[in-house]
Amino acid sequence: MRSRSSFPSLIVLLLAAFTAAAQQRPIFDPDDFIHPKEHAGPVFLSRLVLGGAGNFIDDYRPLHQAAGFVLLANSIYWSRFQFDYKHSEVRSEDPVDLKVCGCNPPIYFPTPPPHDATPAAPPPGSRDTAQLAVYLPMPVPTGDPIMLRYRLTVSRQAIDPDVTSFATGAKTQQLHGREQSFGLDGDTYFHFRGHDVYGSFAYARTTQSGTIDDRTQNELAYTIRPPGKAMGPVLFRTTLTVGAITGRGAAGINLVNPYFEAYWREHTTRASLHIIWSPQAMRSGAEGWATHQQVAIFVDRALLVKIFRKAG
Amino acid sequence: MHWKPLTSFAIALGLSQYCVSAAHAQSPTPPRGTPRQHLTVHDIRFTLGGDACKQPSSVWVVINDIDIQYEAKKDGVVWKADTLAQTFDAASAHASLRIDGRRTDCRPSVPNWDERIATFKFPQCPPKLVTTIEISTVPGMDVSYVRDFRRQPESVPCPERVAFSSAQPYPVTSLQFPEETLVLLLDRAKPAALGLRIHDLLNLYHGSANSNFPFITPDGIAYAVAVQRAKSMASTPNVSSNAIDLHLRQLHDAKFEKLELKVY
Repeated sequence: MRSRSSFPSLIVLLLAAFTAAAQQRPIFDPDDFIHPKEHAGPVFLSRLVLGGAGNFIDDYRPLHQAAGFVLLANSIYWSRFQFDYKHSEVRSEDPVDLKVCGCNPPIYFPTPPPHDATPAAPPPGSRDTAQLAVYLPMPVPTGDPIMLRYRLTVSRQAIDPDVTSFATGAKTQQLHGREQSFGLDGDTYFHFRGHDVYGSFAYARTTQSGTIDDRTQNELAYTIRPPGKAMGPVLFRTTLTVGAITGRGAAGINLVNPYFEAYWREHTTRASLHIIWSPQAMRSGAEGWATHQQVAIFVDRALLVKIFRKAG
Repeated sequence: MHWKPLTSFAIALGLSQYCVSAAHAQSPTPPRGTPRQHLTVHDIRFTLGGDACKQPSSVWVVINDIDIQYEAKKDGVVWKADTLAQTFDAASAHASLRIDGRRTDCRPSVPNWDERIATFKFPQCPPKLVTTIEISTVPGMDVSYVRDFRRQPESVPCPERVAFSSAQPYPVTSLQFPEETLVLLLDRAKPAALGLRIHDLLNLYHGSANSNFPFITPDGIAYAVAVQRAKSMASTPNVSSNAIDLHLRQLHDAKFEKLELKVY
């Protein structure tokens, strides 16, 4: 009986592990869902995240190198609402020097990918993100209502690289560009053939301006979120994201992203360790399908947990 | 020439008529002019299946979760009970049985309009091997538990909620794992869906019947609930560090030290 049920669970686990990262939120942004009934009054939580990723991918744009990151996330939970402000710093192991020739029009090196190829990730840097979420219960005939979260995300990153002369190596200018992203995501639930199916839809639009390669991409993705599994003190979960991303010369489904996460909570330090493998198979007009193996390891720890008592 | 299609049609018609009449015989329709929605009754008849119930010494009926038990007597292949002056609506009622102290899941009533009785079917008798769990906490708190059966296609929800003080070991008797669920609410204000699933906790920490469980610290409880969230706890499955830290802070604020379970 046990072996019969565990095999499909393992398959689902593997499938799910291949799915979780189809959002504009970076791989190091930990889950922050709190059911509104878990707190009577407002709650403030501040969290620090530290870690690194190999083959770092920023919003479905590979950086092609490893990166280290720090994230400070501040969240307020009030009734059915959640507000977050997050600041992240990402640094790559080998920052790219932007060079320009003295020709007219100027030509920059490295040259940006063609417009039918997967765009380059923006240079690692600082990013600010604000999120507003609302939790809404969905009645289900078989039991308690399922609480679904719908969230709006706005993020902004300055892109101010120094440009040096290809001939002399002297700094010739500094670009003042930026990248802005706007996203909506919502949880989904339905019952299919006796099984609960959980997932989420995500839409995001990311726009660059003032850079040497201003591009815009729209993302529409669905992530299926199977139940996780505990093995001793370690929690495992998987997700699978399938989606379509514009601006890379490939129409239709061009993203398949399984995601596997192992989560271990260390009780003495109250820190949580995340180990994530997130291979992203993406298709562009110029390159066809290409898979990028992103692996991340990071630690998160709460800096402050403040529960405000409900008035009255 | 066309006898085969005609014969098939006749057989199909006959079968359908048989099915309709059989359905009518099982659930008589109300007489003309009688409102169909309500049928106030006090007589109960039910059938009881399963090998574990061949010769029960006592069978009691509980109607609509109201904690009054009515004794049932066997009459041939059916069981009969009478709620006496306590009438109920046979069109919307549900019932569960207490068989030698063991509880069944809840089944919906099927009204018999001709005989003005409520009928029920209990296809499965509860197993004879049951579990008792004693619950206590340090310090003692005002807590509650909710027990219910895992939903079967024809059953209806009928959770049993009991509030108690956990200063002394409180026994929850005749539990039927894994068919039954037991959820502990250290904070009574929370809905049952967000409570600590004791039935899962036993598996998580390898507890079994007749074993004295080691006490469970706040970290152990927070982890057990995190496992529940990862599997889905009235929401999409998640692994939320924020939820874990909030839970630990709540336990700390309640000065919670440990949960003790004894399994018999």
